[in-house]
Amino acid sequence: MKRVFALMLGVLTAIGGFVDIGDLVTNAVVGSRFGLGLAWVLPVGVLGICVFAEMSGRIAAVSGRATFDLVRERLGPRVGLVNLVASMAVTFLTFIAEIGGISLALELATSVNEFFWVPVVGATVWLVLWRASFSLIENTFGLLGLTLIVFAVAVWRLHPDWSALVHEASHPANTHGEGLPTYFYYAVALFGAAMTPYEVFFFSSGGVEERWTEKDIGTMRANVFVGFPLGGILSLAIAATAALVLKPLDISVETLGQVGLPVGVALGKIGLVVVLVGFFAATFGAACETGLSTGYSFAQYFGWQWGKYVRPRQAARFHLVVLLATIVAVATLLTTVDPIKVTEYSVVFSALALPLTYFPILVLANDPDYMGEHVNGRMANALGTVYLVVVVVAAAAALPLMFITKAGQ
Amino acid sequence: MISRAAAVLAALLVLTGCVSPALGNGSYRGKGQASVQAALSEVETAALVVEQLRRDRIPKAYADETVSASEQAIGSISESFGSVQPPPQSDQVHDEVTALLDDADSAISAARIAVRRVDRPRLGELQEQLRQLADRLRDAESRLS
Repeated sequence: MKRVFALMLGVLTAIGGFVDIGDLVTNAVVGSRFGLGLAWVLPVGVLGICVFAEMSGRIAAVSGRATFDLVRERLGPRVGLVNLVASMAVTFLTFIAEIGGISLALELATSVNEFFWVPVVGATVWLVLWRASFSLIENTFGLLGLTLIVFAVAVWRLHPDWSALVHEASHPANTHGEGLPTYFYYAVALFGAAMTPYEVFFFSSGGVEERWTEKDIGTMRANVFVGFPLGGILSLAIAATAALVLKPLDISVETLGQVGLPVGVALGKIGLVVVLVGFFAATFGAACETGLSTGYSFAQYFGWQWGKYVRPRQAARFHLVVLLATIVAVATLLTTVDPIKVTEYSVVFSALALPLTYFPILVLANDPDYMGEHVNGRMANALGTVYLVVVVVAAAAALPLMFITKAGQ
Repeated sequence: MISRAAAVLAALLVLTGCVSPALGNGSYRGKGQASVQAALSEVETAALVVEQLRRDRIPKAYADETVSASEQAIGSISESFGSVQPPPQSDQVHDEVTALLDDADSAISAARIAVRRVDRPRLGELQEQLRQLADRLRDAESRLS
């Protein structure tokens, strides 16, 4: 019974924790501009994050060691450093976006300016990362994030023409008057939003924190292969609400307020209150994950003591990195940079950095010296190789598309 | 060397009065169309918020923040379009787009005031006004394309 409960909790937190500011904004932008014409990217991205997270989680369960530590050992310090820099850049950009997202959610709830909230949020995030246990962070915000199911309820309450919706989602086409480069730019952005590297590092580092062993591989796979796809459905629901309400009105999403508006149309005030709880939980949970991931990356690469399973005094350098990252993130936001723009860039840079973070995991998962009998099988290798090609193509296309389309304008 | 480059850059900025260089007629028209399209998005957002607030289906704080964001955005769109030097023979495009952006700015500002006061009769008038303005923006967008 305890094991079933743990399994359910893991799956639920994986669903609730799947969506972050990148998913919220990118899916709403895409839904408002392309309808469901880019819905095909979501299953591609979700399967990709499943393949990536499963390999990474399996490595953590079999070796009991963290990703960056192993990458450095197996591929050498230079490749490890490239992996570290690429991951850190994207994770830190996402951390800034998440803190900005929490502040925007609080602004929407209170009418108090976001710049008042930014330092308050930064301090609170740091305090939670300093004091709260790993499982408390993961479970609380993962479960609260489930409130984003309200987007799926809103789709149902908007009484859409289901056959037209399914037809649009299942027939990829750019029929919405946007240029082809813009269409593919947003395809890359959606892919990057679904396959953010920090989710994988947080997931596998969590495995080490929770002392996974080979016995936990089944639970880990259930979390990944059930939780993530269901989380992906939440992303699809966000795009669908924007497609149903905002697109017919020619509203192109630029703010977090616009992301939630369709739920207000469908469900009224209560729906919007639930949306605000969901925005807060999704962004706060992801801020904790990205904040911890910055500490994990550095500490694991340099071989420092890390994690929440030891007292902060024993992992002082790890906590110092987290503190410095929080201070720099808050300072960046206080320059009045738009968190939504940071989010839009972070998902594209996520796609750009993916090969550098994905390839070392694929190499490790194929190494029998590390993985023993749990080395990649034929299926895992076939999928892993296909996705290596996909992430390389997405990364190669990301920057040219960004320049050609002036970042999707 | 660096200070000399900075001085040249500063002089150029002063000489050009921080106004973007003139575009060709076609590019200016495209810029006008993009500005009208962006304005349409903000006007429709304000109209939707006003409608939802009138029907008591959106919290006041949420409505206020969303309309205020639209007001801020329309200001940036206006400023960005206004900073481009219109090429000769594009005065009509300049005048039409500028007038539409001014109308959008005024209507959204009025919406923000009514939203903060939750002035329901005024919200009704503004909803109608914003929808009519959205239709004008759509017409202008298709003419400019």
